[in-house]
Amino acid sequence: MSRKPSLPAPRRIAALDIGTHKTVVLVGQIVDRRVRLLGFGERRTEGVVKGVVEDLERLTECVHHVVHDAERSAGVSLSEIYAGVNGPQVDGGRVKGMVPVPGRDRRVTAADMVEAEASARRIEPPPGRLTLLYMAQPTLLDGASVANPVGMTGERLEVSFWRVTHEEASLRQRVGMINGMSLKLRDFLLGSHCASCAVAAEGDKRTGCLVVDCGAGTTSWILHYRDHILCAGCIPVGGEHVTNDLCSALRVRRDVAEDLKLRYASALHRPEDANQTILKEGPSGPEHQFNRGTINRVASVRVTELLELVRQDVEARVRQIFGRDVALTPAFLPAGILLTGGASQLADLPAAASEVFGLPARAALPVTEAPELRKPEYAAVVGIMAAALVNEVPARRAPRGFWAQLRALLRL
Amino acid sequence: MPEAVPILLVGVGGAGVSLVGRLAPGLPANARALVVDADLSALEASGLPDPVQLGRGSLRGLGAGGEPALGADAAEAEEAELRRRLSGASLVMVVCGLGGGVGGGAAPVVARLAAEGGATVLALATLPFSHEGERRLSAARDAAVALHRRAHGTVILRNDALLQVAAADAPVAELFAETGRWVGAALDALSGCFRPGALLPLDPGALRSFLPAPGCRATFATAAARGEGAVLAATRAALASPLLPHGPEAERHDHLLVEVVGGPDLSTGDCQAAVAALRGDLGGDRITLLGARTDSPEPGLVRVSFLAASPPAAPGAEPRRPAKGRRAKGKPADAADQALFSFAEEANLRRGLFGTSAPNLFNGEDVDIPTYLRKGIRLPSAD
Repeated sequence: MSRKPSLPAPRRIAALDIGTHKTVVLVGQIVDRRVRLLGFGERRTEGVVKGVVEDLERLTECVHHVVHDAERSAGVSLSEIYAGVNGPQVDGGRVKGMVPVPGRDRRVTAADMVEAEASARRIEPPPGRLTLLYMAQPTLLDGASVANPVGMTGERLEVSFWRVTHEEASLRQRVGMINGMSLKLRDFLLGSHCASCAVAAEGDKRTGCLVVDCGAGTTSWILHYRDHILCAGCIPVGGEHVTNDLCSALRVRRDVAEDLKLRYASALHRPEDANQTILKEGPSGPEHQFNRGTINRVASVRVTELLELVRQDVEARVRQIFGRDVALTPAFLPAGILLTGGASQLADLPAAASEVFGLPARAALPVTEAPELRKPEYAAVVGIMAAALVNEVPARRAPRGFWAQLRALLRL
Repeated sequence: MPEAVPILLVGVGGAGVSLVGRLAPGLPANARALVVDADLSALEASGLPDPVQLGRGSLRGLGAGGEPALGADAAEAEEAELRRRLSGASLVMVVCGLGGGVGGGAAPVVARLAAEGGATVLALATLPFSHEGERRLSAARDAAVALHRRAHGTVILRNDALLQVAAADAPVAELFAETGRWVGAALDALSGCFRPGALLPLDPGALRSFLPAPGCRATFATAAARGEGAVLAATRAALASPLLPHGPEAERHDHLLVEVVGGPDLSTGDCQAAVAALRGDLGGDRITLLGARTDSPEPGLVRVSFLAASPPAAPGAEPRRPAKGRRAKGKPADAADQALFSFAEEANLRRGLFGTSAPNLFNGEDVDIPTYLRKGIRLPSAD
C-alpha cells in the first residue's frame, strides 16, 4: 500500500466491485476527510461464473462500460481505482511470527514487534499464489493475548496474521484489465472484508460476529472476533444457484425463475405454502401456474445446504486456528450472524441462518451517507470506498487514528 | 391414405426386456416386440416368443455382469441373427437401461444393425440412479455416447427424475412401472401419429427427415388432461414434466413432433395452440410436425405428447445457440463433438445454467446440481 504524499485538493477516489451478477463503480471526492459521492456506474456483469472469470474479453468490455458510466455521471475522468476481489480464487491462512524477547529485563520493544511481524511476513505464499493483504490477529506474549505488548515483560512474542492470497494468474489478469483502461490500480481490497466493515457496527466487531456476504455466484464470509479478523472463506454457491434450481424444478426460463425467486421464494419451507398457487402471465399469452410450496421447497433446501457449507467451512478454519473444535455458540459470537449482499434479500434468510447456526442472525445494510447505496447488494462497494478513504487519508496522529478511521467509515 | 408404419419395439438387457415384456400385451396393431438379453431367465420371464439370447457360448445363459464389453461382444457374435430379426420395420425403438452389461454394451450394437438394415432407430434409454455408484454412472455415460452415435434419435431418461414422479417411499417396482408408462406413451404416440384415419395423419416419410442421421439428441414428454381447455393444460403439463432432462432454456431443438389425442370434439385450432405453446418453449424452427387423433381411449381425456430432436451439427456449421453465454466460446469445428460430449456428461444437463463450468465439489457432490435433485426431495405437484 503505497501512500502518496498529499495531493492538491480535491482528491477523488473510485471503487470497483466486480460481482458475478453486477459490476459497480463508485466515484467520490474526499472533502474534509470524508467521501462525497460524485458518480455511480452499474451494469450486469458479463463473463463471470461463480466468481470466476470465464470470458475476460466480455468482462473487460463490461467493466469498461461501467467505468465510463461512472465517469459520465460524476462528470470527471478517473485515473486511479481501488478494486475489490472476491470469489473462490481468494484463499486465506494464518501466518505466525515468533521472536524470543531479548535483553536482561525481557521488556518488549517496538523493534521486537517489527521483527516478529517481519518474520511472519517472510513466510512464502503457496506456489502460484500472491499475497493480497495481511490482517492482524491478536498478539500473544507468552501465550496470552495482549493489545499492545510494547513495554510489557515476557519471554516469547508471537505475532500472527490472517493472510489473504489470490491465485496469481487471475490476479495478473485483473491488473492487466484495469491497466488496459488507462487506470492505475491503487490497491486490491478483499470484498468480503470491506462488506463486513460496511455493515458491522464497531460493537459487533469487538464482541464477535460472522458476516456472510451472499452474492449471486459466491457466498463469502468473514469472522470478526475481538476486534480482529479471525478468518475468512468463500463458497462458490450463491443466489444464482437458487435461480438455477427453480429453472430446473419449474421448467421455466431463467428470467421467469429469477422473478419468481425475488417475489415469492423464501428460505424457509412452510407447509401452509403448499396450497398457494401463483399465477403468472406469460409473454406468449397463457398464464403459468406455480405452486408456492414447490418454489419454497426448492429454495429452502438449497439455502439450507449453502448455509451448512458455510458453517462447515467456518468450523474447519476456526479449528485450524485454535487447534481444537470450537462450537459456534452465542458465547463465542455474541453479535451473531450479519447477512448482506444481493442474495441476502431472500425472504426469511435470517431465520434459516439462525436455524442452521444456532446463532442470532439478521440482515444488515451498509452504513453510508448516500441513501441510494443503503442496499445489501452495495455492501462490498461501499466498504471498498470506505477502506480506500482510510488508505488515502492516513490518520494524522496515531492514537486518534482508530477513531478517525471509524468516523470516516461511518460517514462515507 | 398413408400406411401404418411398421414399428419394432426391441428391449435390450434386463431393464429393456422387462419394460418391453410389460408393454407386449397391449401393443398397437402396427408394432411388434422383440427381446434381446443374455440372461435366459429374464427372457423367459418376459413371456415373449422367440427372444434373441446373446452369448449362448460365452455367457451361458447368465447376464453380462455389468460389463458392457462382454455385452457388446456377445451381440456382435449374434450379428446375423440380430440383422434378420431387426429387418422389416421402418421404425425400431430400442429400449434399454444403460449402466448394465447387456443394456449398455449390446444396445449400441442393436441400434447400429437396425440402422444398417434401413430402419429409423429411436433409442429410449434410462440412466442409473445417482446412488447406484459412480462406476455404474460412468459406464452408463459411455454407453449413452455409443448409443447416441448409432441411433438416429436418443432419448435419455434419468432414473433420478423418477423420484420426482413417484412418491418418496414408492417401491422400486412403482418406479419401474413409471418408466414403463413413459416408454408406452412414446410407443403409442409414434405408432399413432402415422396411423391411417387420424384427424391429422403424418406422412411416414416424415420420420426420416425428422431424425435424418444418427446422433440426434432427443427428448420426449407426455401428459394428459381433461375438461375445459384440456389441450393447453396437457401441453403445459407435458412441458413441466419432471422427466424432461432439464429446463427448456438449457436446450432448444430444431425438430418438433407433436401428437394430440382427443375425443371427437378435438379441433385443429386447439392443436395449433398446443403447437404454438410448445414451439415457444422448445423450438422446432426447422421442422414442426403435428399429428392429431380423435380416438382417445377415455372420453374427455386429451393427451399431448411431443418428441423434440436436434440433428447433429454439420461440421463447420454455426453453433446453434451462439447468441449469449459461454457456449459460444468453443471452436466451431468442435461443435458436433461438443454436443456429444455434453450429452455424455449427463451431470452437465442437470447443472442447467452452470452447464459446462467446472464442477463445484463439496463432500463428493457437485453442488451446482440442484439440491432437491441430489437429495431426492419430492416436490409438490404443479396444481
